[in-house]
Amino acid sequence: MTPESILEHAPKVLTQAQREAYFRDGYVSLDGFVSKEWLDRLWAVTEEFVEESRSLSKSDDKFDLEPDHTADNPRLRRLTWPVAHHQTYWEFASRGPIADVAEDLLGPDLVFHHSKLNFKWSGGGEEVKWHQDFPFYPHSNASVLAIGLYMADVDDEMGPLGAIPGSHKGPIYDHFNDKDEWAGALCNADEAKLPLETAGYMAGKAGTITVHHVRTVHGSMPNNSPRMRPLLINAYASADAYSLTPYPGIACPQNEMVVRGKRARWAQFDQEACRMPPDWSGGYSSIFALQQAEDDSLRAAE
Amino acid sequence: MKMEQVLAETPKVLSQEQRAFYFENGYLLLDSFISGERLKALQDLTKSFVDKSRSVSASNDMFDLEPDHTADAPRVRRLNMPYRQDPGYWDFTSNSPITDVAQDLLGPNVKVHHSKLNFKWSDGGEEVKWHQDIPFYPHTNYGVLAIGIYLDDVDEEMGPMGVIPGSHKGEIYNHYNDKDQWIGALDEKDFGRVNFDDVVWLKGPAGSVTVHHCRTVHGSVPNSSPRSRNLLINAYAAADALTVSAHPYPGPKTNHIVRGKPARWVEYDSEPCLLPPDFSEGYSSIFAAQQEEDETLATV
Repeated sequence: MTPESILEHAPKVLTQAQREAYFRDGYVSLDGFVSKEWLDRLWAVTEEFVEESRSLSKSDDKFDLEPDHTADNPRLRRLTWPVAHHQTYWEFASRGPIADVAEDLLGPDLVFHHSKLNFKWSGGGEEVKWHQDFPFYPHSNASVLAIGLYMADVDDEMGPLGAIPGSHKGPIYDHFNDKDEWAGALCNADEAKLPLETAGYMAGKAGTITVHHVRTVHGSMPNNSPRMRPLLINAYASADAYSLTPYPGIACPQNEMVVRGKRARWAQFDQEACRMPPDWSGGYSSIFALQQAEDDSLRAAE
Repeated sequence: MKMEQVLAETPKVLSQEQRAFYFENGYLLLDSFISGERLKALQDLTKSFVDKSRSVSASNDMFDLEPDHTADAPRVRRLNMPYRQDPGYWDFTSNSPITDVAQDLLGPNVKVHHSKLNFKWSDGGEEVKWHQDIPFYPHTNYGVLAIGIYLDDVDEEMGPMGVIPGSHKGEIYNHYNDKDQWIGALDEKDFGRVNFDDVVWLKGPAGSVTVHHCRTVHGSVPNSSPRSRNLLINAYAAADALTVSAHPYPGPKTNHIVRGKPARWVEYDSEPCLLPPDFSEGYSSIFAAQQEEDETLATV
């Protein structure tokens, strides 16, 4: 759907100014938007998964681990696809307050795309380089967004999500490097052209949500604090935006599931070309492993 | 690829005039384009599949049967995905003069989308109502076409394919009825917007090849002759046109690259496209949908 047609629908939870800010800047954050009750429920299940990860020594379909993860000192980078692992995550994604936010920004008909929980552990946890989401999962059009929930207070030291305002209206960048290998991030030359000094860093207390458009250039610094920065991300698409590539890796029942309204009868297309991601049907390793070149076989995938 | 980019490539088998005609009119007829051994091999192969159908009493993944099909008088409506059933068909689809035709009209990088062999049996065999192909399999752009080869001589009586010239430049019509049920055909209430006076019936001797653009309105009347009219169809897409909906015949060799290489960049056309029902749970043929044999399919 176009911003104009979305704005014609009365919002459920956002103000008109917040919606306009999102369409203008390509991102918006809502401080303390999610209630303590929801946070407590999400923390309860998340702690169970952190416990479960202690017994693991290497990453698998469910857990993406930092290289120095141990049973005594768990360093989880990511819980992959949390909505499939616990009903609480799915309830939050499909019926929680963020589904209303998605509806206010995507229109009354929307589908679920994917979910992940990035821990960004304390003491140097994972940088995420500047990238756009669209080249990871091209759709027939770009009415697609991701909503992140800070499960803990996040200050500037902790590597909050940063976004370049207006970059969603700019080009779709090539996320392959000059050797034609998938890099999952902008190349240095493209990065140099971006007004990085304008980046908005979305710090906020626990319960704050960040919303970014699928074409917005975004990233985050390492977490230099002694505290971890868990960010629960759920991505959604307007029902007229059809996913063009299968979701990589594990089978995920909620992928493409209708969250609000109904699936569109007409597919809408954008005009700008988008580069295809590598063929991930044989398996996907996370953006962290990739951007840090842990996995050379993946870099060469295509 | 844009038309200008396609036309800038040196053609393999078509003349520049034929390519320009296709882009202008949305179809092409190539008289006796396939002949000799290649044609004979396809005809013989097809006869062997008709024989195979004698032992089948209900439609299945391979055969779509008319209701009065019997072992003694086989009435196959369609052989599904022939190129998956026999290497002879795959060779024709993937590496023959029709693959060259696809390349000449879609550009150097070409995928095959699907294939089917419609038998249109003698004495009343199946009408195909007016429809466009793209609502059956939407892609991100309209670099998609179907190439048919008549395996028999086809005259007017035999229900040749009819096309509406230039209709590929017009609207994409609704293929659902007023009750929002998929009918796989244009609704008669929209007929006033179609230039039926211009219809061209594509006839020719065995081996003649038809090409139609995925937005061209086309159809065919029943075969009122005592002869059968077997039409082998292969549908192709430019590699930069990605499918938007579930493939009606999921399995091997869907969206297989037959020329060039996979696209690095997805190309989009801004014109929205109608979507079919969700075929991921199984596809029953256009015949069944148009003739409402299958109520579950007709109801989305």
